[in-house]
Amino acid sequence: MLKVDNLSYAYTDKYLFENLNLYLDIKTITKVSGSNGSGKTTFLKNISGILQDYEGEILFLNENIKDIFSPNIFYAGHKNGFKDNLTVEENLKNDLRNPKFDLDKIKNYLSDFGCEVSFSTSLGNYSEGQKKKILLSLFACVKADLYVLDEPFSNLDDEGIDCLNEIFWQKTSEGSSIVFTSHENQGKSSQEINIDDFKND
Amino acid sequence: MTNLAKRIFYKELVSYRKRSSTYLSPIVFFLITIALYPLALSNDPADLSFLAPGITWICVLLSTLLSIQNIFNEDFEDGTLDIFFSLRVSTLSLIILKILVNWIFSSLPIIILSSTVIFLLFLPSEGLVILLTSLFLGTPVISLFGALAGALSLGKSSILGPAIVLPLSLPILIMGTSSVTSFLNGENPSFYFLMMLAIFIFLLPLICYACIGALRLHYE
Repeated sequence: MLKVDNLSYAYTDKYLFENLNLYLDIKTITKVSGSNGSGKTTFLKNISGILQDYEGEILFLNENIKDIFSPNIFYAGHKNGFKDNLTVEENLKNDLRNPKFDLDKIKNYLSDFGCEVSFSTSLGNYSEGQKKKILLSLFACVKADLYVLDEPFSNLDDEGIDCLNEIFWQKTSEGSSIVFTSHENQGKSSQEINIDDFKND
Repeated sequence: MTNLAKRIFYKELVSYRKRSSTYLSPIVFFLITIALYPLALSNDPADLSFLAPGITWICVLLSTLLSIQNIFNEDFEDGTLDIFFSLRVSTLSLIILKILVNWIFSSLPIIILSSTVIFLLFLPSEGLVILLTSLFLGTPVISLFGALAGALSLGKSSILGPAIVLPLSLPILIMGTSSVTSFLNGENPSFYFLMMLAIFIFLLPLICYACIGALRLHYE
Protein backbone atom coordinates (compact mmCIF):
# COMPACT_ATOMS: atom_id res chain seq x y z
CA MET A 1 0.00 0.00 0.00
CA LEU A 2 2.73 2.43 1.00
CA LYS A 3 6.32 2.12 -0.14
CA VAL A 4 8.99 4.41 1.23
CA ASP A 5 12.21 4.30 -0.73
CA ASN A 6 15.47 5.84 0.50
CA LEU A 7 13.70 8.65 2.29
CA SER A 8 15.91 11.36 3.77
CA TYR A 9 14.78 14.59 5.32
CA ALA A 10 17.02 17.50 6.21
CA TYR A 11 15.97 20.28 8.52
CA THR A 12 18.29 23.30 8.22
CA ASP A 13 21.25 21.37 6.83
CA LYS A 14 21.04 18.56 9.38
CA TYR A 15 19.54 15.25 8.36
CA LEU A 16 16.83 14.02 10.72
CA PHE A 17 16.92 10.59 9.10
CA GLU A 18 18.61 9.16 6.05
CA ASN A 19 17.86 6.33 3.60
CA LEU A 20 14.75 5.15 5.36
CA ASN A 21 13.02 2.23 3.68
CA LEU A 22 9.65 0.91 4.65
CA TYR A 23 7.01 -1.23 3.03
CA LEU A 24 3.49 -1.21 4.34
CA ASP A 25 1.08 -3.90 3.24
CA ILE A 26 -2.66 -3.60 3.62
CA LYS A 27 -4.08 -4.55 7.01
CA THR A 28 -0.92 -3.68 8.90
CA ILE A 29 -0.34 -1.55 11.92
CA THR A 30 3.06 0.13 11.94
CA LYS A 31 4.52 1.74 14.99
CA VAL A 32 7.11 4.45 14.51
CA SER A 33 9.29 4.88 17.55
CA GLY A 34 12.29 7.01 18.32
CA SER A 35 13.64 9.44 20.85
CA ASN A 36 12.24 12.96 21.27
CA GLY A 37 13.03 15.16 18.33
CA SER A 38 14.16 12.24 16.22
CA GLY A 39 11.76 13.13 13.39
CA LYS A 40 8.75 10.89 14.00
CA THR A 41 6.27 13.68 13.31
CA THR A 42 8.28 14.79 10.27
CA PHE A 43 8.20 11.25 8.93
CA LEU A 44 4.40 11.12 9.35
CA LYS A 45 4.07 14.48 7.60
CA ASN A 46 6.23 13.13 4.76
CA ILE A 47 4.13 10.04 4.17
CA SER A 48 0.86 11.96 4.35
CA GLY A 49 2.15 14.47 1.80
CA ILE A 50 2.19 17.55 4.04
CA LEU A 51 5.95 18.05 3.89
CA GLN A 52 7.05 17.37 0.34
CA ASP A 53 10.63 18.61 0.26
CA TYR A 54 12.15 15.25 1.10
CA GLU A 55 14.72 13.23 -0.79
CA GLY A 56 13.78 9.76 -1.97
CA GLU A 57 10.43 8.45 -3.06
CA ILE A 58 7.12 7.71 -1.38
CA LEU A 59 4.62 5.60 -3.29
CA PHE A 60 1.02 5.31 -2.14
CA LEU A 61 -0.93 2.62 -4.01
CA ASN A 62 1.91 2.58 -6.59
CA GLU A 63 1.66 6.29 -7.29
CA ASN A 64 3.99 9.03 -6.16
CA ILE A 65 2.39 10.72 -3.17
CA LYS A 66 3.21 14.16 -4.59
CA ASP A 67 1.17 13.47 -7.73
CA ILE A 68 -1.98 12.08 -6.17
CA PHE A 69 -4.84 14.53 -6.45
CA SER A 70 -6.66 13.41 -3.37
CA PRO A 71 -5.14 10.47 -1.49
CA ASN A 72 -7.47 8.68 0.89
CA ILE A 73 -5.27 9.29 3.92
CA PHE A 74 -6.54 10.35 7.31
CA TYR A 75 -4.00 12.49 9.14
CA ALA A 76 -4.26 13.38 12.82
CA GLY A 77 -1.29 15.31 14.14
CA HIS A 78 -0.54 16.15 17.72
CA LYS A 79 -2.09 19.53 17.00
CA ASN A 80 -5.60 18.22 16.62
CA GLY A 81 -6.99 20.76 14.13
CA PHE A 82 -9.90 21.62 16.40
CA LYS A 83 -10.82 25.13 17.41
CA ASP A 84 -11.29 25.75 21.12
CA ASN A 85 -13.93 28.45 20.68
CA LEU A 86 -16.27 26.20 18.67
CA THR A 87 -18.52 23.64 20.31
CA VAL A 88 -17.72 19.93 20.11
CA GLU A 89 -20.47 19.42 17.54
CA GLU A 90 -19.37 22.36 15.35
CA ASN A 91 -15.81 21.07 15.41
CA LEU A 92 -16.81 17.55 14.41
CA LYS A 93 -19.43 18.61 11.87
CA ASN A 94 -17.08 21.01 10.08
CA ASP A 95 -14.02 18.81 10.18
CA LEU A 96 -12.86 18.48 6.60
CA ARG A 97 -11.54 14.96 7.12
CA ASN A 98 -15.04 13.75 7.88
CA PRO A 99 -17.19 13.77 4.75
CA LYS A 100 -20.30 12.33 6.41
CA PHE A 101 -21.10 13.58 9.87
CA ASP A 102 -22.92 10.91 11.86
CA LEU A 103 -23.68 12.11 15.38
CA ASP A 104 -24.89 8.74 16.71
CA LYS A 105 -21.82 6.92 15.51
CA ILE A 106 -19.51 9.44 17.17
CA LYS A 107 -21.56 9.27 20.36
CA ASN A 108 -21.18 5.48 20.40
CA TYR A 109 -17.41 5.67 20.03
CA LEU A 110 -17.19 8.37 22.69
CA SER A 111 -19.07 6.21 25.17
CA ASP A 112 -16.78 3.28 24.26
CA PHE A 113 -13.89 5.54 25.23
CA GLY A 114 -15.67 6.30 28.49
CA CYS A 115 -15.86 9.96 27.63
CA GLU A 116 -18.91 12.00 28.61
CA VAL A 117 -19.07 15.23 26.61
CA SER A 118 -21.83 17.70 25.93
CA PHE A 119 -21.92 18.43 22.21
CA SER A 120 -23.03 22.02 22.74
CA THR A 121 -20.12 22.98 25.03
CA SER A 122 -17.06 24.79 23.73
CA LEU A 123 -14.21 22.40 23.09
CA GLY A 124 -11.87 24.63 25.11
CA ASN A 125 -13.60 23.52 28.32
CA TYR A 126 -12.36 19.96 27.97
CA SER A 127 -9.07 18.48 29.05
CA GLU A 128 -6.37 17.29 26.64
CA GLY A 129 -7.34 13.67 27.29
CA GLN A 130 -10.98 14.35 26.45
CA LYS A 131 -10.00 16.26 23.30
CA LYS A 132 -7.87 13.29 22.31
CA LYS A 133 -10.83 10.97 22.77
CA ILE A 134 -13.02 13.27 20.65
CA LEU A 135 -10.36 13.25 17.93
CA LEU A 136 -10.02 9.47 18.11
CA SER A 137 -13.80 9.03 17.87
CA LEU A 138 -13.64 11.08 14.68
CA PHE A 139 -10.82 8.82 13.46
CA ALA A 140 -12.97 5.78 14.21
CA CYS A 141 -15.84 7.18 12.12
CA VAL A 142 -13.86 8.11 9.02
CA LYS A 143 -13.11 5.53 6.34
CA ALA A 144 -9.70 5.82 4.74
CA ASP A 145 -7.09 3.58 3.16
CA LEU A 146 -4.32 4.75 5.42
CA TYR A 147 -4.52 6.34 8.84
CA VAL A 148 -1.58 8.41 10.00
CA LEU A 149 -1.76 9.18 13.71
CA ASP A 150 0.73 11.15 15.73
CA GLU A 151 0.96 10.05 19.37
CA PRO A 152 -2.57 8.62 19.57
CA PHE A 153 -1.86 6.99 22.94
CA SER A 154 -0.59 10.05 24.76
CA ASN A 155 -2.96 11.58 27.34
CA LEU A 156 -5.17 8.49 27.23
CA ASP A 157 -6.29 6.55 30.30
CA ASP A 158 -6.23 2.73 30.45
CA GLU A 159 -9.82 2.45 29.24
CA GLY A 160 -8.99 4.66 26.26
CA ILE A 161 -5.89 2.64 25.39
CA ASP A 162 -7.83 -0.64 25.35
CA CYS A 163 -10.57 0.94 23.28
CA LEU A 164 -8.10 2.39 20.78
CA ASN A 165 -6.36 -0.98 20.36
CA GLU A 166 -9.78 -2.46 19.66
CA ILE A 167 -10.50 0.21 17.01
CA PHE A 168 -7.08 -0.41 15.42
CA TRP A 169 -7.90 -4.07 15.09
CA GLN A 170 -11.32 -3.28 13.64
CA LYS A 171 -9.84 -0.83 11.08
CA THR A 172 -7.25 -3.33 9.86
CA SER A 173 -9.85 -6.06 9.54
CA GLU A 174 -11.73 -3.69 7.21
CA GLY A 175 -8.62 -3.54 5.01
CA SER A 176 -7.03 -0.26 6.10
CA SER A 177 -3.52 0.31 7.38
CA ILE A 178 -2.40 2.40 10.28
CA VAL A 179 0.87 4.20 10.98
CA PHE A 180 1.28 5.73 14.39
CA THR A 181 4.03 7.11 16.57
CA SER A 182 4.57 6.37 20.20
CA HIS A 183 7.54 6.60 22.48
CA GLU A 184 6.03 4.45 25.13
CA ASN A 185 5.31 0.75 24.92
CA GLN A 186 1.72 1.32 24.07
CA GLY A 187 -0.26 0.04 21.16
CA LYS A 188 -0.16 -3.36 19.56
CA SER A 189 1.47 -3.29 16.16
CA SER A 190 2.40 -5.77 13.48
CA GLN A 191 5.67 -4.05 12.61
CA GLU A 192 7.83 -1.40 14.18
CA ILE A 193 10.48 0.95 12.88
CA ASN A 194 12.77 3.06 14.97
CA ILE A 195 13.69 6.38 13.41
CA ASP A 196 16.88 6.47 15.49
CA ASP A 197 18.21 3.55 13.37
CA PHE A 198 18.28 5.83 10.33
CA LYS A 199 20.42 8.52 11.86
CA ASN A 200 23.82 8.88 10.32
CA ASP A 201 26.01 10.28 13.04
CA MET B 1 -13.54 20.01 -4.95
CA THR B 2 -16.30 22.65 -4.98
CA ASN B 3 -17.94 20.71 -2.18
CA LEU B 4 -14.75 20.92 -0.14
CA ALA B 5 -14.51 24.66 -0.86
CA LYS B 6 -18.09 25.11 0.32
CA ARG B 7 -17.28 23.30 3.55
CA ILE B 8 -14.17 25.40 4.14
CA PHE B 9 -16.20 28.56 3.50
CA TYR B 10 -18.88 27.45 5.94
CA LYS B 11 -16.30 26.49 8.58
CA GLU B 12 -14.64 29.88 8.23
CA LEU B 13 -17.99 31.62 8.68
CA VAL B 14 -18.78 29.57 11.79
CA SER B 15 -15.41 30.17 13.40
CA TYR B 16 -15.43 33.91 12.64
CA ARG B 17 -18.91 34.21 14.10
CA LYS B 18 -17.66 32.60 17.31
CA ARG B 19 -14.52 34.70 17.47
CA SER B 20 -16.24 37.99 18.15
CA SER B 21 -13.01 39.83 18.98
CA THR B 22 -11.88 39.66 15.35
CA TYR B 23 -14.84 41.60 14.03
CA LEU B 24 -16.03 43.53 17.09
CA SER B 25 -12.77 45.18 18.06
CA PRO B 26 -12.24 46.84 14.64
CA ILE B 27 -15.83 48.10 14.71
CA VAL B 28 -15.48 49.54 18.22
CA PHE B 29 -12.07 50.99 17.39
CA PHE B 30 -13.47 52.63 14.26
CA LEU B 31 -16.45 54.18 16.03
CA ILE B 32 -14.33 55.49 18.91
CA THR B 33 -11.65 57.08 16.73
CA ILE B 34 -14.14 58.61 14.31
CA ALA B 35 -16.09 60.09 17.25
CA LEU B 36 -12.95 61.56 18.83
CA TYR B 37 -11.97 63.71 15.86
CA PRO B 38 -14.80 66.26 16.20
CA LEU B 39 -14.05 66.52 19.92
CA ALA B 40 -10.34 67.05 19.50
CA LEU B 41 -10.03 68.98 16.24
CA SER B 42 -12.83 71.44 15.90
CA ASN B 43 -16.58 71.56 15.98
CA ASP B 44 -16.78 73.76 12.93
CA PRO B 45 -18.69 71.85 10.22
CA ALA B 46 -16.68 73.52 7.48
CA ASP B 47 -13.33 72.32 8.90
CA LEU B 48 -14.61 68.84 9.58
CA SER B 49 -16.25 68.27 6.22
CA PHE B 50 -12.96 69.29 4.59
CA LEU B 51 -11.07 66.69 6.64
CA ALA B 52 -13.78 64.00 6.60
CA PRO B 53 -12.56 61.88 3.64
CA GLY B 54 -9.01 61.66 5.01
CA ILE B 55 -10.08 60.94 8.58
CA THR B 56 -12.50 58.22 7.48
CA TRP B 57 -9.93 56.52 5.31
CA ILE B 58 -7.25 56.60 8.03
CA CYS B 59 -9.67 55.12 10.56
CA VAL B 60 -10.76 52.39 8.15
CA LEU B 61 -7.15 51.50 7.37
CA LEU B 62 -6.11 51.36 11.03
CA SER B 63 -9.13 49.38 12.18
CA THR B 64 -8.81 46.75 9.45
CA LEU B 65 -5.19 46.31 10.54
CA LEU B 66 -6.43 45.05 13.90
CA SER B 67 -7.90 41.86 12.54
CA ILE B 68 -6.23 41.26 9.25
CA GLN B 69 -2.86 39.85 10.21
CA ASN B 70 -4.30 36.86 12.05
CA ILE B 71 -5.79 35.51 8.83
CA PHE B 72 -3.69 32.32 8.79
CA ASN B 73 -2.21 32.32 12.27
CA GLU B 74 -4.91 30.42 14.14
CA ASP B 75 -5.11 27.67 11.51
CA PHE B 76 -1.33 27.34 11.70
CA GLU B 77 -1.28 27.11 15.50
CA ASP B 78 -4.07 24.55 15.87
CA GLY B 79 -2.99 22.26 13.05
CA THR B 80 -5.81 23.03 10.60
CA LEU B 81 -3.29 24.02 7.91
CA ASP B 82 -1.68 20.57 8.23
CA ILE B 83 -5.07 19.01 7.57
CA PHE B 84 -5.66 21.28 4.56
CA PHE B 85 -2.36 20.15 3.09
CA SER B 86 -2.93 16.48 3.89
CA LEU B 87 -6.29 16.68 2.09
CA ARG B 88 -4.63 18.42 -0.85
CA VAL B 89 -6.97 21.38 -0.64
CA SER B 90 -5.91 23.72 -3.42
CA THR B 91 -3.87 26.38 -1.63
CA LEU B 92 -5.00 29.01 -4.12
CA SER B 93 -8.70 28.53 -3.46
CA LEU B 94 -8.01 28.28 0.27
CA ILE B 95 -6.28 31.67 0.25
CA ILE B 96 -9.01 33.31 -1.85
CA LEU B 97 -11.69 31.94 0.48
CA LYS B 98 -9.84 33.12 3.56
CA ILE B 99 -9.35 36.62 2.14
CA LEU B 100 -13.03 36.78 1.16
CA VAL B 101 -14.31 35.73 4.59
CA ASN B 102 -11.83 38.02 6.32
CA TRP B 103 -13.03 40.93 4.17
CA ILE B 104 -16.68 40.14 4.93
CA PHE B 105 -16.03 40.17 8.67
CA SER B 106 -13.39 42.85 9.08
CA SER B 107 -14.00 45.38 6.30
CA LEU B 108 -17.66 45.15 5.33
CA PRO B 109 -19.09 46.19 8.74
CA ILE B 110 -16.70 49.16 8.82
CA ILE B 111 -17.67 50.23 5.30
CA ILE B 112 -21.32 50.19 6.31
CA LEU B 113 -20.58 52.05 9.55
CA SER B 114 -18.56 54.67 7.74
CA SER B 115 -21.82 56.12 6.42
CA THR B 116 -22.16 57.62 9.92
CA VAL B 117 -19.50 60.17 8.98
CA ILE B 118 -22.15 62.33 7.33
CA PHE B 119 -23.39 62.99 10.88
CA LEU B 120 -20.13 62.86 12.82
CA LEU B 121 -17.82 64.67 10.44
CA PHE B 122 -20.36 66.63 8.38
CA LEU B 123 -19.35 64.98 5.14
CA PRO B 124 -21.70 66.44 2.48
CA SER B 125 -24.29 63.75 1.87
CA GLU B 126 -23.71 63.73 -1.91
CA GLY B 127 -20.12 62.62 -1.18
CA LEU B 128 -21.24 59.56 0.73
CA VAL B 129 -21.76 57.36 -2.35
CA ILE B 130 -18.29 58.27 -3.58
CA LEU B 131 -16.76 57.54 -0.16
CA LEU B 132 -18.49 54.16 0.04
CA THR B 133 -17.48 53.28 -3.52
CA SER B 134 -13.86 54.16 -2.78
CA LEU B 135 -13.96 51.98 0.35
CA PHE B 136 -15.55 49.08 -1.57
CA LEU B 137 -12.76 49.25 -4.13
CA GLY B 138 -9.91 49.99 -1.74
CA THR B 139 -10.45 47.67 1.21
CA PRO B 140 -10.13 44.42 -0.82
CA VAL B 141 -6.62 45.55 -1.78
CA ILE B 142 -5.80 46.15 1.89
CA SER B 143 -7.14 42.65 2.63
CA LEU B 144 -4.77 41.25 -0.01
CA PHE B 145 -1.81 42.95 1.65
CA GLY B 146 -3.07 41.71 5.01
CA ALA B 147 -3.14 38.13 3.75
CA LEU B 148 0.42 38.45 2.47
CA ALA B 149 1.55 39.94 5.78
CA GLY B 150 -0.30 37.20 7.67
CA ALA B 151 1.31 34.45 5.60
CA LEU B 152 4.78 35.97 5.99
CA SER B 153 4.52 36.58 9.72
CA LEU B 154 3.10 33.16 10.71
CA GLY B 155 4.21 32.34 14.23
CA LYS B 156 6.25 35.54 14.47
CA SER B 157 5.82 38.81 16.33
CA SER B 158 2.63 40.71 15.66
CA ILE B 159 4.40 43.97 14.74
CA LEU B 160 5.59 42.46 11.46
CA GLY B 161 2.06 42.40 10.00
CA PRO B 162 1.29 46.14 10.23
CA ALA B 163 4.87 46.92 9.24
CA ILE B 164 4.23 45.14 5.94
CA VAL B 165 0.63 46.28 5.35
CA LEU B 166 0.88 49.99 6.18
CA PRO B 167 3.52 51.10 3.67
CA LEU B 168 1.95 48.97 0.92
CA SER B 169 -1.48 50.48 1.55
CA LEU B 170 -0.36 54.10 1.21
CA PRO B 171 -1.26 54.44 -2.51
CA ILE B 172 -4.75 53.11 -1.76
CA LEU B 173 -5.12 55.60 1.09
CA ILE B 174 -4.06 58.47 -1.17
CA MET B 175 -6.35 57.42 -4.02
CA GLY B 176 -9.28 56.77 -1.70
CA THR B 177 -9.15 60.19 -0.10
CA SER B 178 -8.36 61.95 -3.38
CA SER B 179 -11.42 60.43 -5.05
CA VAL B 180 -13.75 61.91 -2.43
CA THR B 181 -12.03 65.32 -2.21
CA SER B 182 -11.87 65.66 -5.98
CA PHE B 183 -15.58 64.85 -6.22
CA LEU B 184 -16.38 67.45 -3.55
CA ASN B 185 -14.31 69.96 -5.55
CA GLY B 186 -16.46 69.27 -8.56
CA GLU B 187 -14.11 66.95 -10.46
CA ASN B 188 -14.78 63.50 -11.83
CA PRO B 189 -13.46 60.80 -9.42
CA SER B 190 -13.67 57.90 -11.88
CA PHE B 191 -9.91 58.00 -12.55
CA TYR B 192 -9.22 57.01 -8.95
CA PHE B 193 -11.88 54.30 -8.99
CA LEU B 194 -10.50 52.76 -12.16
CA MET B 195 -7.00 52.93 -10.74
CA MET B 196 -8.03 51.13 -7.54
CA LEU B 197 -9.93 48.50 -9.50
CA ALA B 198 -6.93 48.00 -11.77
CA ILE B 199 -4.62 47.64 -8.74
CA PHE B 200 -6.94 45.00 -7.29
CA ILE B 201 -7.18 43.01 -10.51
CA PHE B 202 -3.42 43.24 -11.02
CA LEU B 203 -2.53 42.27 -7.45
CA LEU B 204 -5.06 39.46 -6.91
CA PRO B 205 -3.13 36.72 -8.74
CA LEU B 206 0.28 38.09 -7.73
CA ILE B 207 -0.49 38.25 -4.01
CA CYS B 208 -2.24 34.87 -4.02
CA TYR B 209 0.84 33.24 -5.49
CA ALA B 210 3.08 35.14 -3.06
CA CYS B 211 0.90 33.85 -0.21
CA ILE B 212 1.22 30.26 -1.46
CA GLY B 213 4.99 30.70 -1.44
CA ALA B 214 4.97 32.28 2.01
CA LEU B 215 2.80 29.52 3.48
CA ARG B 216 4.94 26.83 1.85
CA LEU B 217 7.99 28.35 3.56
CA HIS B 218 6.58 27.05 6.82
CA TYR B 219 6.21 23.59 5.33
CA GLU B 220 9.79 23.12 4.25
